[in-house]
Amino acid sequence: MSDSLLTTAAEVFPRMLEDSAFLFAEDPEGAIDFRTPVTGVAIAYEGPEHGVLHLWAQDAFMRSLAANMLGIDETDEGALNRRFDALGELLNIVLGHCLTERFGESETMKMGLPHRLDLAELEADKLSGIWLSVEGEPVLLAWSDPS
Amino acid sequence: MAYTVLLVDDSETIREAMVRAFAMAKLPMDEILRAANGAEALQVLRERWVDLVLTDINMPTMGGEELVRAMKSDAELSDIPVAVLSSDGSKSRIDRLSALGVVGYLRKPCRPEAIRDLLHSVLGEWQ
Repeated sequence: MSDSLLTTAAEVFPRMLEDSAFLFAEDPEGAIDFRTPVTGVAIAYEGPEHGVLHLWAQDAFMRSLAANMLGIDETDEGALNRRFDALGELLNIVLGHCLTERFGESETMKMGLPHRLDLAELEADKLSGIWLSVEGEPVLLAWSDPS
Repeated sequence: MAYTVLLVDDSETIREAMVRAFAMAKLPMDEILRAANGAEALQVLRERWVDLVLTDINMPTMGGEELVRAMKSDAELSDIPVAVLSSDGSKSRIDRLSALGVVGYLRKPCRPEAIRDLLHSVLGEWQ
């Protein structure tokens, strides 16, 4: 497991979240209440090392994210319709910055496109990823090796 | 004088967020055209005149680098300035895109001030 990439992702995530959507992440307090429905997005990368970075979240976080990125209200239909796209784009931004910080600007990295995952694909080992809390909503960053 | 820009990104959220950022940058915009990938962008460019193309790199169907190559090999499109909007900060990729003729680079997430600076540097300041 690329602990270092995941650790870097956990450091990069709050900054990118703030810059993209003016939302603030913090370490979760107390037990994580990860209720269904839960959605994940994943992006594969290749370079000096390869892997897949995952971001799992619940609907409430995704709607807040989409609403803030778009400057609309969370109850607006646009926030509902674009919540999955917003989650994928946030992961894209986090991974892009993460790879530069981890491997440097001179390294050529190849990133895939975000793809959506369903709850059935949330394997038990990914629950050992890094949990963050955004406005009280749990978010999980996880990593896997596709090979 | 007002600008027409073509935004190329497969994320609808980013396209809409960038339209909002252009408004916040208080730029004299005529129109912001949108396309979801390089192939769609080429269709728009064959029908509409634009001052600048601002494109993502990683997209399905046709990515940003292929779009730049296609534009530069087309006599009718080769003079249109192209800038890149991406989360990828790899210097080697930026250098390669610059060698292809890309005139600017914005890293996601970008602030309205960065958009304004890019348009000023590429298209000049308006009166």
